[in-house]
Amino acid sequence: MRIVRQRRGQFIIIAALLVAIMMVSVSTIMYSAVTYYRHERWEEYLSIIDDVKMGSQRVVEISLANYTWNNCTNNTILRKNLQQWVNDTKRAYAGFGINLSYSLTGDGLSDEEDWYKQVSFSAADATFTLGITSAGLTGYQFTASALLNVTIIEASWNASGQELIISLAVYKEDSIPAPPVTDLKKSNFRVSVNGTWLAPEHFTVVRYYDGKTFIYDIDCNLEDIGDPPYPVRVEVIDTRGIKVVADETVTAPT
Amino acid sequence: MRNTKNTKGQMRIIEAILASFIIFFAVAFINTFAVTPSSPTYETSEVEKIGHNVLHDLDDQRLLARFVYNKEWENLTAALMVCLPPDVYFNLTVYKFKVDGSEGKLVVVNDNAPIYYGNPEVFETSSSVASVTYILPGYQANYDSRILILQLVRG
Repeated sequence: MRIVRQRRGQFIIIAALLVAIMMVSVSTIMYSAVTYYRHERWEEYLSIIDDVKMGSQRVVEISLANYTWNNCTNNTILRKNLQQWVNDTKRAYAGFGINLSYSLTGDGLSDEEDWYKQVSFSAADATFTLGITSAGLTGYQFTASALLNVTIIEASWNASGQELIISLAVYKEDSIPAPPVTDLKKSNFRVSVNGTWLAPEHFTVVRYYDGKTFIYDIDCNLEDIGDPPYPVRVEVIDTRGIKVVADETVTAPT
Repeated sequence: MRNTKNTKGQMRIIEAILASFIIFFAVAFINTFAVTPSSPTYETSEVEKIGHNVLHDLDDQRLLARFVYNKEWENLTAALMVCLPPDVYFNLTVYKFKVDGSEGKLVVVNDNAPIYYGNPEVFETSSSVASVTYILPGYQANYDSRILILQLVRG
């Protein structure tokens, strides 16, 4: 009888011991679960991936800006810049074992044939493959694209007011349909009428929304231009420095 | 019979006290492993995250490249001060790669204009200084990379 009572008394201590062991065990598992994410530095790896992706996008834009600024003559610029970018990322993130490679379709750039039309564009495109040795990441693919599209909607001559109005829309990459570019100012446009580039004081630029997209109206005050038809040319350089030249013929109003 | 009952009651109390001690020690032992938001391990990681987000956001808005390549150091300092929490001190150094013979080395671009906020001694004395590396490929139509090292510490 006494022996039984002693066992009952020990039960509380045994139960407490079991509870303590359970608490320590559960806390150890929880601790490792909570800190695993930090020990593995996933956020740091994600930050590097973000940086490399944004940098790669910038390289494509810079290259396209350089290419179009030089009137599409240097078609090796994208490949050259990408190679430099690959080397620079390896040096900047030396401790992480960054392995970035790229592939291009052709030279990765649109050519001058895509200019001097009613719908003209400049485009560049590259596909990247990223690996981070320290994170065990291999074969992460992403694409970087840059596009500037200028569409001349209408170029009309108002004989009574002696003014030429060119309506155009400007689009960039990122989604389908391409989103409009809305941050252009007068300094981003150059206008040529019948082969003569207009001085900035001879035209104004107004932007408005027509219910579907943003339209830029270029209002040119001209003298002695004569009656249409004659060609107009609009050169657009966006805030990234990418250039597009679009042409249209002005016709007499019907 | 009364004596036996008294002994049983005392033993229960002693057992309960012992059990309480065991559980208390278990809780105290667990507490040593706790990673609280104020611990240095957690803190460095958090500040790094903040610093990276700020640089990333400035770059996304195309301000970072403009400040760095046009050497608008005052604007860059002001932007970082606005974007970072007021109790976070920072020290930003901008480097560029310079090829010297067959070897490349990093050269400080902003050596005449330090970009910092807070007491510079904090970066030497603090045990938990966060460091963020950010690379800019170029600006407008020119490829000319810069490496930004942003050091952060909670003031």
